[in-house]
Amino acid sequence: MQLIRTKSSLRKILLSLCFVLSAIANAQEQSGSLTVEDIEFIGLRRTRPAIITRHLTFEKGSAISPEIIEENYQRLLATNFFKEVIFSTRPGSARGKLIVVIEVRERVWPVLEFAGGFTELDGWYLSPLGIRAYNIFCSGQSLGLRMIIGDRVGGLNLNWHHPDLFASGIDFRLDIDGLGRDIIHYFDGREVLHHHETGVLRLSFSGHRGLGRYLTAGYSAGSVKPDSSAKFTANDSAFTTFPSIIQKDLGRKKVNSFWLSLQADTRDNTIFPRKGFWGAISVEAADREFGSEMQFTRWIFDARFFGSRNRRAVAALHLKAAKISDSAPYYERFYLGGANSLRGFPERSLTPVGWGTELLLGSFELRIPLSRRASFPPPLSAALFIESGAIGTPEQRINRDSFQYAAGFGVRLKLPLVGVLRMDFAYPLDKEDFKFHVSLGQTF
Amino acid sequence: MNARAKTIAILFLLMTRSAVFAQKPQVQSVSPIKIGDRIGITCNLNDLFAPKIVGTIKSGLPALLNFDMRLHEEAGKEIWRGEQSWKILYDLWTEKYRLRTNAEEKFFDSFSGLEEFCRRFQSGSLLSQTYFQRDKKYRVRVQVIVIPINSRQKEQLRDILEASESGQESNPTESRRNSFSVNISQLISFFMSSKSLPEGASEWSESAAFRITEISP
Repeated sequence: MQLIRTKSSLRKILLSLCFVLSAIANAQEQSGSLTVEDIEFIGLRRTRPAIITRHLTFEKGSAISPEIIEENYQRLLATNFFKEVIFSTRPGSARGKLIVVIEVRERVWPVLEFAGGFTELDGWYLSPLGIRAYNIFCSGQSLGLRMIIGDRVGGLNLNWHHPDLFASGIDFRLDIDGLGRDIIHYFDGREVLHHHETGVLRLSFSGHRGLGRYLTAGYSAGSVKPDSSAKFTANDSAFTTFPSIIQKDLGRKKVNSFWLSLQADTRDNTIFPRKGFWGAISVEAADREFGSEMQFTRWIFDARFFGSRNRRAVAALHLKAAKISDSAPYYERFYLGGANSLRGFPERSLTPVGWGTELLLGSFELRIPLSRRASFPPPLSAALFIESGAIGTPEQRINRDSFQYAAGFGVRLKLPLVGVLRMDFAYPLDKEDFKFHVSLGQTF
Repeated sequence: MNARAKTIAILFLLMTRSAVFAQKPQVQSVSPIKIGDRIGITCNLNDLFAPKIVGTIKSGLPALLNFDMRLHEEAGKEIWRGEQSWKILYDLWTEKYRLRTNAEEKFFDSFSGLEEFCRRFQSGSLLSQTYFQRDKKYRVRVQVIVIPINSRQKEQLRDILEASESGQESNPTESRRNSFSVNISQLISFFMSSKSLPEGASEWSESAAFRITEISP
């Protein structure tokens, strides 16, 4: 009897073990890990293999899986260097080693682009027609020209991007903008549109490797010419008597500056981060020594933290602190209020006359995917948020009473072509009002 | 080797090369089958696995077989469409080929055994007979696509549309910008492309016209 019981228990244990082993086998695609022995390219007529490998997240000796292949397939397509990319593999010299074969069809001719977006300063804009040549000189460089049309902005942008300047691992960008933009002021609570002509040449250098990955340096040379008149938005009536703090900066002025930024990014995803950190601290200096007619130093600290317990709801925290010299012209200073800063208030409505020289901003968001589908990033998600911000001037520094608070909720919809469309309903906490904002991408 | 033999050899090599690189799956026959009181689709397939796919499977990464199925009235109107996906994986350590369909998982000791099984595709029960009118004639159509590693590699259009989503943080000295950009040339060339079939896809194959009463189990 005892023997029968023991046999029965043994059978149960063995069956359970089989079940567990089968579950493990089902969960894992392979019993062991796969590593890359070599990477081969097919179809490269112009592009150097090094240009491609720079975009890959794996190399010889790395572990490889279907998920890694998918990520890299998308990365190569996103370069726009190729019309078509196909990844396949073949067995390597030993079990578990494989050779990754990347087959591409190179793009030869420049492409036409349609673009659009939303910026804090200019609002919505469209670039109905742009032209861009990718991978010119076969080293990954690109050259583009685009026309920009917006509600408050219009002009041309020419840009050049070299991802590996002199094979040094330095990413180089050159932007030349010729823009006319209408900047918003608030005088006695009334919105005023003030036209500015701007021409800017911007050079920026950032690293790919080692410590260089965290550094970006740049030089900007430009001129700004604010009009001597503006108009009230409500009735289009002209306005010429500016407050003295703005009046002193009218007329064409050269603004040349150097800037340096230290940044780190450990986010697991840029569109819908679930964990990680993005942070940057930057300093910009404009001085007569650089040929600038304006002198100022600007510091900005910007940090975003993301965390998720169950990999569904994500808690996101944004902290921003900024300061600029009191001597800075108003158009280089800070503003507050709007879709990307304090959402309970209209665009820049909290900005003091002559704009701010100090800024503090904090936001907390709970992001909740609403779709049951396993696809990531989620096609539909909701957000609950609470935020606070304060802006100060040389006359009125930030103190405890300067802070404004807002809370609200929103939805994010992942759309083809435009990416994430964001809609937020936000309420200022100290008065009965609400604002509805439509924008692109996550707030931070 | 004389000139004639050289020409023949070169022609032979060229033919062999084009055969290897142009190998696409072929659907030899398609027909409906009755499974209980429901209808399924069966088809015979050939040249399923191009050398690129065989290499991928034998190196330990998966390959996917995607079956796109359509039901048409004889006049041409499409009344139903469905899709099934099979995943093939070779476990290098147990030396077994695994085939995972929607309903089951099968193991094979050899690649030829796996290939033989895949050649005779049976969808399982798909459609209720209520879809069909007894006096009307219908056709079923099937296309098979064999994709190395990941189903994403057949979704070029999706990738073109979603390329704009690759977000990047602007430098903190600049005004925060959220933007998208669409490569119009790529979209136009995708829709105007003379290349009618994606890589690894068979031609669409159609059954003979049938009535529901004519389908055999």
